[in-house]
Amino acid sequence: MNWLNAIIQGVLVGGLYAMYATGLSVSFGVMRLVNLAHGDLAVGSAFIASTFCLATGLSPFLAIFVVLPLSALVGIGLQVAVFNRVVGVDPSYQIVATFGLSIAIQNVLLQQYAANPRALNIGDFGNRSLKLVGDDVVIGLFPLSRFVVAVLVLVLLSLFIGRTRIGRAFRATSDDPDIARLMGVNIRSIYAVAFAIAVTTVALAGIFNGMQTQFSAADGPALLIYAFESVIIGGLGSLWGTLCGGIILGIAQTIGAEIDPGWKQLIGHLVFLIVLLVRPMGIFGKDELR
Amino acid sequence: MSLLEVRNLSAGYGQFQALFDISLNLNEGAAIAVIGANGAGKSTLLKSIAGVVDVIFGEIIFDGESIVNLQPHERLNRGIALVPEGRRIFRSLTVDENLSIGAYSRRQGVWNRELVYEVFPMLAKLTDRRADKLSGGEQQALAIGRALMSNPRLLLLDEVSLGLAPIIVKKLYEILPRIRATGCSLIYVEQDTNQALSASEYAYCLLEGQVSLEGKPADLSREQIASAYFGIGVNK
Amino acid sequence: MTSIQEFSVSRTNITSRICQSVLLICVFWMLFIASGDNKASQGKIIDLCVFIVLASMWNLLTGFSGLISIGQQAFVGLGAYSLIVLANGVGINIFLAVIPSAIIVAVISIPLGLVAFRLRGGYFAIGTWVIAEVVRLIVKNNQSSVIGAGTGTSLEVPESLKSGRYQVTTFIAISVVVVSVVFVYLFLRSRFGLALQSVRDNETGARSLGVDSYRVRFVVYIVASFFTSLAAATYYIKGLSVQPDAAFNIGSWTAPIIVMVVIGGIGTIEGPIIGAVLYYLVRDFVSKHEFFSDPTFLILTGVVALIFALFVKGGIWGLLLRKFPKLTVFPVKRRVHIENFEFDQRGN
Repeated sequence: MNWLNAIIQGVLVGGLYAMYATGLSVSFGVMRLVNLAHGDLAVGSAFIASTFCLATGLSPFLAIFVVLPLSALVGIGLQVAVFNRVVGVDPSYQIVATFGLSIAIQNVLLQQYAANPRALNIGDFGNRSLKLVGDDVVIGLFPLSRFVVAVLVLVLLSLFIGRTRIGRAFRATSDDPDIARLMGVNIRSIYAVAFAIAVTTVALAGIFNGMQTQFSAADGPALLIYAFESVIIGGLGSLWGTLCGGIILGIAQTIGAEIDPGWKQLIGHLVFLIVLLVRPMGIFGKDELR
Repeated sequence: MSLLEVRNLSAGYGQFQALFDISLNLNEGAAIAVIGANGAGKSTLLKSIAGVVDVIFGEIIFDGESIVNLQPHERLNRGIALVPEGRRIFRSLTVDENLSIGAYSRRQGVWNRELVYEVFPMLAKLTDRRADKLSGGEQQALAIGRALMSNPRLLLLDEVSLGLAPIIVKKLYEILPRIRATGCSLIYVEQDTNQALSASEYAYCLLEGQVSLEGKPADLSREQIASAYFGIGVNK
Repeated sequence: MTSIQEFSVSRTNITSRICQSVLLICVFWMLFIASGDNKASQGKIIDLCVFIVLASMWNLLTGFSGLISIGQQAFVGLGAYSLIVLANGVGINIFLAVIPSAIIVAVISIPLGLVAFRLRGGYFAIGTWVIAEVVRLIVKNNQSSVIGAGTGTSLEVPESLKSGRYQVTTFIAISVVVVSVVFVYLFLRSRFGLALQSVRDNETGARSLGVDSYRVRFVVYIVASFFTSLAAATYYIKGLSVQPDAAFNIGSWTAPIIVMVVIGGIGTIEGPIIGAVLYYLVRDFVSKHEFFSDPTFLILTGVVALIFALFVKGGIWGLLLRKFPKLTVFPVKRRVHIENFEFDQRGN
């Protein structure tokens, strides 16, 4: 029954990966921006949440309400100060700029918090679990709620993009920014909102991650890769595809870990490469933001 | 009453100058045609008015206000709408959503979804169809309808007949009087001179970025138009 | 309008000749040190040459081909391990194994490239990183004794070669850097180089003229992997000890390379050289002063890269060019001479 457990764990962690991936998907879809510092922003949020909790003694769940608005502001700030200058120009500069940002953030965290790993303490909640099928199949309550939150975030985002005026503006900008401008859409504002969404979702993901595992300053790049692989496996332009991509990646990793603990990441990478070779547009790939 | 006045306009793309010292006038409620061969600068002129092309020198006065330094969305808020060359509808949005985004600026007026569907009955049957699945004529109707949703005072039509069958073009031009009846002024840019001239009160012909001929269509002979269009016998 | 009586097209001018002579003097100076006994200086020269090659190759990919790679560390690691396999495993003389090891890596780069080229732009960049990670993990999990898995291994140097190792390696490093820079220069001046830059500037346009953009870029990818691993092999003949986490580490290799090229000037041959030299001078200065800790230096490099990518896109070389438009060391652009006038492609 270990395999079934592994698969279930994989599905649940897939929700987390999808949350990481959402921000990447949105910012690429709307602005064609790939932010290499994406993972580092998640780690940074976890550290800020941790600092908040240690200072106030409050639960990490409450920290979310402080960190998320902060992330939105940071997202807008970064967009205005940094990314507006590299959207629409030669992508090399975009990559280099975000790469530099990534290095800077990682080392700021390293300097502030040293190399020691931290964790967010959610007390007993982390230990509770549900039993299915007798004693053999056990689902942790925390991973389950984390998955539910991930799905909720995707539902909200989907509704936002599909049904609201600004969501329509997102899609129009993604299709044709020049003409969107002619429709009266203020592209700069749209970009700022898109990036704020990206940073907020990845911050939430980072905090949730920190509630279950330890995190340290250099974790960012790995998270970026998981997000990226989820997007590619699931398919560009599809939020629900990203969820599937995350789940597939999660399952690949947990099964890999069952075979041999050192293979966890490797199997994940290999599944990603196979999808890339066999079906490069991803499983649900389309060419737009939806 | 002059709605739009273009004075000594020079504009272009980066190092490439496309327009040289263009002057043009449009009265409220009128329709004018801008004709000329490929590359004459007609599209550039409309884009300069709409705000997507940089002005090197000169002035554009809309309703008494200089708009040269305004962004495209600010010009839209004042009532200038462009139906771009090549239609450029939003591919991943449905017909209905394309119209909705046309109304993004929330300008008030007679135009709304119902009226657009009434004027373009072909679109009414396709409200939930993705825009990239429409035919050329349907896309053109959608592009015009989308521009109308912003309740413009000035509608700029950039080569709406391009790539369409003559019968579709005829249908589109039959709708234009209805648009004018709502108080909207029009500028048509066309390579096909017949349609444009018959639908307008005044015409400008562009050649290599300059005005080579202007006048009321009735006053212009075929020979005059041909020389101005092709630059035969025109002194530089 | 004046009529053109006589015109000629040329590339070099007096300034480039002067600068080239200066470079030649630097090379001779390095050779002089190579023949001496100062191991510390020789070590520095080896490092500098290695990084100039790495930076030039990254620049070739990103600045000239539009292939933004953050996975070049894959070829550094592969170069190191391929050297180990040939030298320790097969028993070839360590110095003679350098070129064959690079050829092996170039061959390996073909399937890697086939995968990477499924992606474009920013996603291509991350893809190259994932590929590097895959290679790292495979090497790390490899059980063979030659490779040594996670703990790594060391290059075995026979007694006879021990005394002159630093000197020979320095000569190798100098040769590699000269060959690679000259290669890039000649490559870009060739028709192939022209095709490459046309693809970078406007892929659709280039393809409509008959350029096979995919093939052109693929060739560059393979070439870059060859020279990168050549440089890596040189580095490890000096350093000897190879570990997967270090050899494939993006922070040790790709990060400094990117910073060097961005500061020097992306898309120019001179840029990476200037950037590498500058980076080394600063790092040398910093390591002598205690208050500059490692993370602080890295924060600085990250911020500097960010600022240059936003505001100084042409790098330092770009700034110099704006002040002295005729300045060039490796002239790639053609100039038209008309009687007493000279115009370059930008119409200056």
